[in-house]
Amino acid sequence: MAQRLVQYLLVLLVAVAVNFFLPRAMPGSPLQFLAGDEVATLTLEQRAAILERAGLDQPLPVQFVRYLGQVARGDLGYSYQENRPVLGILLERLPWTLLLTGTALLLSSLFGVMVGALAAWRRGGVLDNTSLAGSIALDAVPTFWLGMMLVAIFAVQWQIFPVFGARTAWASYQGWQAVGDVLRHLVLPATTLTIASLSGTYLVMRYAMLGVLGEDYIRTARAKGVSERQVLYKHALRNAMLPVFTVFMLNLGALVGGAAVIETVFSYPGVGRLLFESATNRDYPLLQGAFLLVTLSVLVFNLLADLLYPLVDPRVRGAHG
Amino acid sequence: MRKKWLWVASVVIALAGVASAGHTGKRIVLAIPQDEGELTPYTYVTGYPGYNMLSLVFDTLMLNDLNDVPRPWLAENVSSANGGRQWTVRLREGAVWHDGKPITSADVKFSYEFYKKYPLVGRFATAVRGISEIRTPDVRTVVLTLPRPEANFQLVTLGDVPILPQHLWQGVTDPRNFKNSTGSGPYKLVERRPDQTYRLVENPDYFGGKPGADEVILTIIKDATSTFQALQAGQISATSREVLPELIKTFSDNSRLKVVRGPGYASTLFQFNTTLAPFDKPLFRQTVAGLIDTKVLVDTILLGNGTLGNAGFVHPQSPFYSASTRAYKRLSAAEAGKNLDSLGYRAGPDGVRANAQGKKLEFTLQVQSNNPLRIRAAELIAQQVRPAGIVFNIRSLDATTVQQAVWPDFDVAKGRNFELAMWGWSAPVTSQLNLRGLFASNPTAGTLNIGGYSNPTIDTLTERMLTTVDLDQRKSLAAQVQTIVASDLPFITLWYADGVYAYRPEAYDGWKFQKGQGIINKRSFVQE
Repeated sequence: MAQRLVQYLLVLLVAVAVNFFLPRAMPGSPLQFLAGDEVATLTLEQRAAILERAGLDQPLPVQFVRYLGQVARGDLGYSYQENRPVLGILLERLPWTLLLTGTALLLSSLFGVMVGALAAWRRGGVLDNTSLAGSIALDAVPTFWLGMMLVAIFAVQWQIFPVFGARTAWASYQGWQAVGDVLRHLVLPATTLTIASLSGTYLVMRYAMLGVLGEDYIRTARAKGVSERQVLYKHALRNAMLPVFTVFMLNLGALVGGAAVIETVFSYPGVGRLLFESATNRDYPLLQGAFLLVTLSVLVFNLLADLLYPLVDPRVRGAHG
Repeated sequence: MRKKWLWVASVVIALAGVASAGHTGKRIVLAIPQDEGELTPYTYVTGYPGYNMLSLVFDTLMLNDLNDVPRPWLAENVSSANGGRQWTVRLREGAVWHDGKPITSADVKFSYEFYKKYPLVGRFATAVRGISEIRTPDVRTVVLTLPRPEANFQLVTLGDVPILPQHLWQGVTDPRNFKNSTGSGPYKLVERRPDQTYRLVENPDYFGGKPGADEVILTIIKDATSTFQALQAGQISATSREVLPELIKTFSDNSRLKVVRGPGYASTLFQFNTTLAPFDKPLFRQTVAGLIDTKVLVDTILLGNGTLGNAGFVHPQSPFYSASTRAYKRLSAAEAGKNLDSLGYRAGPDGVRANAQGKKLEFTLQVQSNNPLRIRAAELIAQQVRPAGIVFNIRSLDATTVQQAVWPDFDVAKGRNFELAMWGWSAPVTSQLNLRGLFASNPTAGTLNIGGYSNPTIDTLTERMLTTVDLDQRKSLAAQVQTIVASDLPFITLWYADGVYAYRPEAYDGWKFQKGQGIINKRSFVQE
């Protein structure tokens, strides 16, 4: 266990270093975003003063050591563009991302498992054929296109759901009204993301189920006269869930940064979009902070998967002694 | 099963039913493309629309009218003496800050000196740099002294620098972190959700006329497509974005939308690095210009919604445009070939011209990957020059990467690392007629001279323009500059896109088009 923690710590350190040096290797200076659009009118002394203020006049190794010290103290620095602490920005964005990706992950896992299991159960049936073709088709559809289509139909044409944002900009709703407002804004992006991630779980579930259904113990159960329902739910489904569990845990790791495209299409104030924007803007502290958050969440969920796996799969427990 | 569907349907209907709560007054919901930080002169982010949003909260002594001429605003009148070396500003009577305290000459003196002391915002620091003395003979009078006259003083200083309330800012030593948006403008900032919205409410005591709406909501939509979908769905009343050419027709046909247009001053250019051969030869640049058909570009890319570039750069609608500037001389491939022959570039076996040393006329044209219009223009241009034996290889790169190659650290003194690039300047370069910045050879004067162009006559003329306050004299100098530029062609001015804007008149119909600036200007938000 201690050894594994050290491994994770090493990975984290490498990730932090990459997060620091990679953005700085991109051409371009954050000066424009530090000084605003009027950068062209600044004198050389004014530019130097601005860079000095952001600590960008120091050599890179010095900046890196300083950054490590800050991170160790939990200080992620100031965003150049927003001119406020990075930690605050991330904490503001995180709940929205989790709400969106969490909802989509739950729904897509639920539907994926259900449809996948039933399709395999009646292999070659109508449900199997249509869902297999459908999932391949959906997998081929670009997410942004799907999102834009849903917006065009449900938001622009029928005006049932809002086009953008996570809540109504000008309203000060209270209680249930506020909840309804948030849900209303959630429907289209969450649906898009659910559809986009559905086929992964579905396909894994379907193939796992097909494998399990060919096992001897299923034949034995049937021979014993166990009802079909019981065979499906008790014997087949539970054993076929293992690979799905792995996929689920991997998806959990991608929760934080995985919805950049959808967040952009729906102007949803999440972390994913932040990654993209801060890279475009050469907003180093924000970029580092957002990547650190994503890295941490991937590592934490991997660790969690490692720890949970023996509970789910008794065979692994045996191997570890 | 049926029950389940009923339940789902009722949830959907319930969600859809949560409509915006009862609000009776006029509300403008304006979409802007990015967060603008705190709305203070030290923290707003973009020149457009950030500065325009700032101007809803803060005031300037003068304000441009719809033809871009500065008029007294917070000032009641402005007069100059001694050849533009002394300016006397008389403030309006009864103008107050958002907190009710009167605006006095001391506030003006304090503000200009503050921008001088904390030169963190180039636009304002540069604007007040030339002022040597500020006197306040009484509470409503300010006398400004300049050691040398400044031609653009009304436009760049009196009409642009926001006045700060001294009683709130006098102790401030770190203005980038002072987050107080108390100003004197037509609206007061009441709420800001970073990266989502700003909520402003009308200032009923405004000296400049009744605000046009009770409430202005600025909502940030970063994606252009989402912005226009939100406009069609009625979730916003207007946007600072210009309507994309392919949407203009659809929007014009939509009875709930109004489309307005006017001249736009933002330019799109084909930029040479004039320090490299063969771009250092005017004849070569003229040849390339002669092969480019700007009319085809405007018709194909902007679907006609633009003004053809003037070879002398200045927009034909600008008061400083000189009609006698010669137009681009169109060349056939054969005529262009003669020019290239005379420069020593002869046709090769693959149809690409090369000189005696074997140097081929094959170059890299850099273009910003986030700008589809410029990418298409680059492709068309490459096609247009190809028959004459010139090859442009288009390289589409992240905008910041292109900027760093063309204009490293925004400092022309640091040189340049490109051959050809698609480029453009924002509207103020035209409206403030910054010909010195564009063409002067000395990097401290020619801060926008990214191509490294050099012509001593232009240096002298643009230097003189700087201190020439008399309008007619300035026009004549500008005409001389245009004549030389149209022949030297340090860059090719391809077009100025029209400013085309769309809004929902049922939500708000008070928009006014300011030449070169569009509908998002302060006067649109005030009933005069």
